[in-house]
Amino acid sequence: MATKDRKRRGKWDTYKSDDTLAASGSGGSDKDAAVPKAASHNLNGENAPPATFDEFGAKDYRKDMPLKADFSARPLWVAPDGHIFLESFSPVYKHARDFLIAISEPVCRPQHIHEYQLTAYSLYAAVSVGLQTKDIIEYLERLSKSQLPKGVIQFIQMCTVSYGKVKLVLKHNRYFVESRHSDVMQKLLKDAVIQSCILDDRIEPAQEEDQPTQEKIKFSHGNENENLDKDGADTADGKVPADIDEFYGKMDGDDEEDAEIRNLQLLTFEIKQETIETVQKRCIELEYPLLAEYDFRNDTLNPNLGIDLKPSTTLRPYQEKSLRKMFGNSRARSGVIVLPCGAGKTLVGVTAVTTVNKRCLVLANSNVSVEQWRAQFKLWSTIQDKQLVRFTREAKDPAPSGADASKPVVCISTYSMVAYSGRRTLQAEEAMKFIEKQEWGLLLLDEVHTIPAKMFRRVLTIVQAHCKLGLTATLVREDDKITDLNFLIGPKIYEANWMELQKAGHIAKVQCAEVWCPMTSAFYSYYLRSQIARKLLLAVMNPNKFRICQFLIKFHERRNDKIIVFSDNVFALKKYAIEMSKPFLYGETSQNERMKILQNFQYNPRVNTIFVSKVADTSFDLPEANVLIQISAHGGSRRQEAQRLGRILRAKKHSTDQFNAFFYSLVSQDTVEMGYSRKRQRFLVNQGYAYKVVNKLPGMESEDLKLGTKELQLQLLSQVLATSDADAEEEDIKVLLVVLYYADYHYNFQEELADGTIRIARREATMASMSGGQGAQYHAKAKAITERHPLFKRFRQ
Amino acid sequence: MVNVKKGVLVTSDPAFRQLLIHLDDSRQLGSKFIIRELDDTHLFIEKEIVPMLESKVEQIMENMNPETNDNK
Amino acid sequence: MTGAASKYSCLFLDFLITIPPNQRQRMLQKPSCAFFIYRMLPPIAQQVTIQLIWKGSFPQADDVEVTRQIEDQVKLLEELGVVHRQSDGKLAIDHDYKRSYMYAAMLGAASISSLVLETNEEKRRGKEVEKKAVERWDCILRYLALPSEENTQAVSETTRNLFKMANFTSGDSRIEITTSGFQFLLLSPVKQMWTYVIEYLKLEMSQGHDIVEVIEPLIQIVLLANRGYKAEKECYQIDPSWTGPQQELLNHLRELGVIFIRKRKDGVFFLTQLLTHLATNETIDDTSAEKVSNGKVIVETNFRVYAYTSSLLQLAIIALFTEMTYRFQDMSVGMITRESVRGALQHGITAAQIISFLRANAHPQCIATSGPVNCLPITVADQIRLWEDERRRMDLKDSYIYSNFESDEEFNGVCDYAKERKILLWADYQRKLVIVNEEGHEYVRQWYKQQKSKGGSDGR
Repeated sequence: MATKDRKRRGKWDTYKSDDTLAASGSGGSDKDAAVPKAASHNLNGENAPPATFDEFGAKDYRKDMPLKADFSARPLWVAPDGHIFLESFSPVYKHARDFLIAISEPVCRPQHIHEYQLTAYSLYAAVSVGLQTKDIIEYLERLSKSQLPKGVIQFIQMCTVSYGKVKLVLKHNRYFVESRHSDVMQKLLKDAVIQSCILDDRIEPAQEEDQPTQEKIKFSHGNENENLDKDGADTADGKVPADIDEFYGKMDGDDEEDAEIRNLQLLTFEIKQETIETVQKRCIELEYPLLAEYDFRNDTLNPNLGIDLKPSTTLRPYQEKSLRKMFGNSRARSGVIVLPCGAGKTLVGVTAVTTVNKRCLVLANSNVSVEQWRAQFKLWSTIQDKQLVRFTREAKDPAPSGADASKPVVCISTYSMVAYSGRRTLQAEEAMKFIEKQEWGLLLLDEVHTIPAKMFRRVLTIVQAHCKLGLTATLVREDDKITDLNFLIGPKIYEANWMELQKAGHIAKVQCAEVWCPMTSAFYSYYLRSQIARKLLLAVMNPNKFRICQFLIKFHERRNDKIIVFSDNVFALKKYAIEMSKPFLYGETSQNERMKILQNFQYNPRVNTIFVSKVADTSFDLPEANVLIQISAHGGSRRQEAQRLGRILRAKKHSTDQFNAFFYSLVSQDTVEMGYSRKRQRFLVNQGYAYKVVNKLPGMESEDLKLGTKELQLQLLSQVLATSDADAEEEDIKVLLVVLYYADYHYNFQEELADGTIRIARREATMASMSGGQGAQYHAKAKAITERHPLFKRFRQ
Repeated sequence: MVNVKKGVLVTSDPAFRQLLIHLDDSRQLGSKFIIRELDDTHLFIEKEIVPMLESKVEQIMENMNPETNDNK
Repeated sequence: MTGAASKYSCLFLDFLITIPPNQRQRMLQKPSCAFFIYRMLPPIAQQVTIQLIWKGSFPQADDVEVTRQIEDQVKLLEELGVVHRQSDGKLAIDHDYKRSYMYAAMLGAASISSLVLETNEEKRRGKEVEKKAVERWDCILRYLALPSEENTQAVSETTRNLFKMANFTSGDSRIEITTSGFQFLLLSPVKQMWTYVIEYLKLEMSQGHDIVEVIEPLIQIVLLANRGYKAEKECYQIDPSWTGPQQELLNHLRELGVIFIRKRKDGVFFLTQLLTHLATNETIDDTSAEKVSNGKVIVETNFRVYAYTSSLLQLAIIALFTEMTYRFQDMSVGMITRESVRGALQHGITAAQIISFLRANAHPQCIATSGPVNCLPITVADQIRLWEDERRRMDLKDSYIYSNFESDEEFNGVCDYAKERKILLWADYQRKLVIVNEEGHEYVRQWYKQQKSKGGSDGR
């Protein structure tokens, strides 16, 4: 394990030094992002009473948490160590869920009982979406079955008291620090570091703009009231304690600053633009982290884009909810929205842009994504072509110039492009100048969890943006640096519940299976004697794994499923694919070849299976795929597992109660793969996914599969043993940065998507083109879908 | 003359048998303990080694199946 | 021992088979006993009995499976002495049994009881009978699960002896629960109560008491449970003429919580709801009777366990195979881990027992959303079984290996002989190797001796 970690780090380092992008930092330090001291507090330490343990070794909190008389009507246990347990079957579940996601981190959310944890970060996030200390405590108290432990109250107070009081505001291209709390301002002004950053050392009362009562922001066309009605119906059954219901209305409503705070004088001072990060960091050290908010409605200096969502565009409830959190007080807050893959993150991003309606810069992590974003903007919004500017290595749309120079645009680029610090072409140089010069209303950051903090910082010093919105599916980083994002972008604004989206049919219902493949004795014999790299290769090349993989492919091809097989190991990828005569692609596959393969997979009814390496972990949007087989993976990476699952999560047409997508992780028994596999699953298991262990596949005996004899297996073994160590390695991480270049293909495809009828027509043509015999097969398929997956039938009790 | 030897017949799946052979070859239990390799699923071993073998196997299985619940 | 090994899946009938025939015959003569035996029979045996009583014969089934079941259950009836196989091979009902059964059937279950309903309203006022009854039973289980000083005080000496005799506990000064004791805790309440009662009867027998004298009042009390009584109103007189062992029985039923006696001098006892456990026909209705969805345990797909209980006993049982993490007043949190389950497996608890316990105690919420089987997530049940399988990766058998056979004849001879004697574990015809089990070695030696003497007589 330790060696594995070191190895991974080594690679990561190589990647960084190879990469000129981040070579010269921006004076920003290499150290971890600063975090407020309060953020390092946790409830296991000083605030929690020393836990006593009961006779079974559990933390015994019976004395700390005396039950209220009507405890059964309330849904929460709030433990002194900050862990919160929520009954999902409680009539006030919905009241509690929205509140908990705002103030705490979800630990796990399976079917019945959800666990959350109060952390300094989560409370920071709560304050920044407008919750007040006393409201947090009071509502938590009302939802709780017992009195709140004193330590918890103190913790909430300590973590929230200093947060949210000072804001960083970008106005007229100048940065101001503002607050209505004069004591806090005095403290900041006395600080030497801050003093050095002040542009003009007078504090002045800001000219209060008359704020007309603002109308509530609406994102889409009128399904909001419907939702409210539903909420009303749920609470009408009388089971909800009155104090909870009454408070819920308050919590759910738009949060305006309390009148008493609003009446205080707004104080402000201007800071030098190049010192923003220093100020931010210093304020964090002083325990007053700066909140970034953008009052875009009152920004008259920056012109409006003048775009809107198309009338046909509708938001799903969770998309709307996440946006409500972002724009809760009629301003735009910076932060991160977490939605599962396939749940429509892009639409949330597009809606955010149309809402702010100012210049917007979108940063994605690959050229493919840039094209996707462009297509989605055109799909969902009324934006015109000339308002969309791509800036990638391949596609450089000219920056607006001349008369159009000041007209607002949506610019889409990649992180690496913007953060690049080497020599650029003249054209690129100009584009960069354009980006640097603009005062962006919104900076949209796609897949934020994948970007190294260093690159991030560089981007943030180049781009001036009023507001930053990060989007991601998996807010986990194996290096646990995710917390940095809190202070680089902003707090987590919203996180969706995977299982609830699945139940509502917004994402596919996936059956996950861990398939155990016994090692053949010859392979295992060498396995036991080998070094770790060779061990991994032998485990992947295990003939039983090959046969099970082939069996699953045959099984699902018969059902007319579309299958993606993932292998991090390129040797195995090629060997498997060639042996089974299936197309494959990996880092070195040429762009033409890739396009051909993907197009065939999409439209050719005879190509139903492709083998891909980890280049396809993210960015490949293949809505047809509904079966995923993983034969080799990157150690115990939870994120990779979740990303891969994301490839088949896009909601399927047959949305029934049955599973409509399948994720198989093939694991060689008695090898290190077992431990890795369990580690990889942890994130998804905590989202409520259950991996079925399959150690027998009925029907395998009667299938004609390769590598059936000892001789053939030994032949394979000798090939495996003859590989060089380099072959045995996983695909180098550098490949990830190789620019994926099937942009044009993807663009066309998305265009078709924009017009649903064309796509459906195509699909039907595919079906119609089948011969009579195949027609029968199709019929069989329809039947198979309504039935339970026969592979799992056997295991039903 | 026919030979008789007392010992223990081990029945296991082929991979597991390979593991026992590996333990034997590498003398991880201090000495060799396999008397005869019978077939793909059987071995004949010394009786005295059994307690040590059982605890070693336990340990190996433990390492192969680390606890998966990290967030207590 | 603890129900799983029960021969006819009814502990009472299993026990009846083991008592001396003359005593059993005396039981068959008592209408209440005859009637109760009938009620406890499996359905097919009941039909056979009825047919034999009224028609003197029973029809053959044309289904092979049913025929086999009939044969099995006829065997049970024979062992019970309810039917006898006559010299002509035909079955006939036992005369005593027939007479007692018909007597009971005519009068009805209640009237065959010699117990007298108390009419004095003053005495009939039982307070919190049910609550106290359940507390009594919990005390017994708690003593077994957690034999602390305090819990030991709460049970009678007989109960302590009984558990020791039944091999549920071990140790004299420091009592510890045994493997069988753990398994007992995981049984359904019906099986637990019957196990306790049978162990009590065995204890009585071992002390030389007349077993019929104890069983008859037991059965009479149990039969009262089927009258559809109103709780706290069923109050009966204690017959002062009862013998010592019979009085002792009452004390035990009181300790079990199936009856309630406020004060000895009141001279009355109340029936409690728990009595229905003893009146349940195990062969028909093991679990569904108490599946009234009062379970307390939620098991999630991520192996977390949430137990809605403050009962020390239930928590102690759950903690047998769960790592407990939080204790709140009304709920405890834990996690099923490889280590925690292995701990239980090492105590001799089986995966199947853990799984059936978790299903039987599933929270109504889980049953409502996932049904009576999937209320325990399949992935969790599978994993518990896999952890058990993991311990069975190698099977070890003490044995003897024979090699260097001088001839094919000799090899084949030993081989065939070993097969015949069912001592052969493994053989290889190419390499001429034979492995026999531990006892087999002696047989093989005999065989060689035989061969030698044969060889001698052959003059070779």
